[in-house]
Amino acid sequence: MRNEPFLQQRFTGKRFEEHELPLDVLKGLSALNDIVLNIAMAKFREHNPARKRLPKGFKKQNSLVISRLREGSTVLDIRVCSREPSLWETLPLWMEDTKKVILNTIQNISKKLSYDECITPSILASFAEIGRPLQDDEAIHFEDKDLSVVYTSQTCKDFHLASQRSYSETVEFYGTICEYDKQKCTGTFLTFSEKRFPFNVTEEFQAIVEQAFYGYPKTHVALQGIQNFTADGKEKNKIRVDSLEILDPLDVSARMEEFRCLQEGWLEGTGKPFDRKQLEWLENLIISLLLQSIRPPYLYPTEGENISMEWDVDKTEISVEFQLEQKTAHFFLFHKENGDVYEKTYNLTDDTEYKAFVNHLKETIL
Amino acid sequence: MDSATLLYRHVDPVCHIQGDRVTSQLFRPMPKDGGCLSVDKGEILTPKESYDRFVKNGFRSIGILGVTVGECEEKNLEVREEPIPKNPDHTLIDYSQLSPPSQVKKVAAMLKMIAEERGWLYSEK
Repeated sequence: MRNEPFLQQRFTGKRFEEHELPLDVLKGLSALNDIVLNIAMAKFREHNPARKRLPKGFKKQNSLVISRLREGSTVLDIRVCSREPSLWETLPLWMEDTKKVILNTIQNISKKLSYDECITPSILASFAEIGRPLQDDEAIHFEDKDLSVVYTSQTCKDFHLASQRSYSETVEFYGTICEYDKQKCTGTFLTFSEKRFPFNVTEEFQAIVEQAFYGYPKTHVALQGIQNFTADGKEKNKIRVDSLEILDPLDVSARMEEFRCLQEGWLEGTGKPFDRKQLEWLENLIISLLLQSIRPPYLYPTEGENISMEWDVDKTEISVEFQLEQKTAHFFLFHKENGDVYEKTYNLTDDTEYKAFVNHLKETIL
Repeated sequence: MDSATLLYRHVDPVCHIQGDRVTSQLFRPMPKDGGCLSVDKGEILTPKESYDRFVKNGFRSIGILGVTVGECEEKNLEVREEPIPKNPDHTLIDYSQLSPPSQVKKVAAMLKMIAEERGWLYSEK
């Protein structure tokens, strides 16, 4: 016999749009088990003051399982997995209290309000673990019949702050290795926005660091690691590197990140920062072209905060200049041997012209 | 300047190069500059001196590619000295006589080919 669902978790954000659940999110969710058990023990004692000990097998009786995964974006039903199904069909009061405490703690933490006295620093740390895999556009909606609370990556930071007075989070940067000391086994990572992060070069990453550092022109790398922050959110100096990867020189996302980081004056003293939404539109467009087997382009920023996409194909040089605000694409082909040129402009907001543009690229660049 | 004088064009590490490929835009004038392209004349100035001054003046450069005055004139581009306070060797390649705009792109692509064939005059490597 199944007892009623304990909680429902609804995940929102791009990764959940296809109603799927990335495995790294599950890693964070496993912390919920510890939270429930710890709070449930406290609440059981409160409801049963005469009992000196917890019932035998309390932890086993009260661990959580995912009983169902549904659409919307992605919805999980979480149930208490009692090893003795007949034990209870509806949640006992102390379990209802446990649920309320969880929801109230999430709700109160970001408002800096007080939370139940049973919440210890280690429980706060477990709450923080839930959100570690969350990306900036993502949220978990903890939903019950009476109350729904939202947990975001900011909530995760708030829990870290509350639990440790300092906190750490997973960070991912694109950039270059700007310093490397082989003897001291130290290096410095320089992000596209020109932030510097010293790190220890372990044996695992030495070859990649050397390849990136000695490469010319500068080889781009993606760094993933753990960064520590002080209680007031300031970055602590060093990063613990978990992964370091040499990027393909034509990696579209990394190149777009480079453009996002361009600051006022990037074009010989003129040039404004790019509009992020326009860059996102173009990135999606280019990725859709790649999915249609069009060769990865070289990308360059141009005057007026626009982008040029370029290829060398046989004896021709091809460029497509995007006017990002107008969403137009100007195709230009130059034949290197006979000097012939061909050009055409497409309005990409028009479906027919968009298809013609894609077909033109397919015919020319595949 | 004579026809053999080299004209230095600084390569911006983000705007002009990706991986090891340089864009033709390197030799394309921007509308903001009234159809002219800024270069440094290499009469006395060495590429290294040009690089050092450019960076000291607050600009980014990964190195220098160049064409000669003669190569510009063959494409009907006027080259004229235009010294400015921070750069007495500042020179302009004038594309304003070229039209339509596709002609500007074509000539810029040709100059890039010539410059790449010549190779890097200076690189920060």
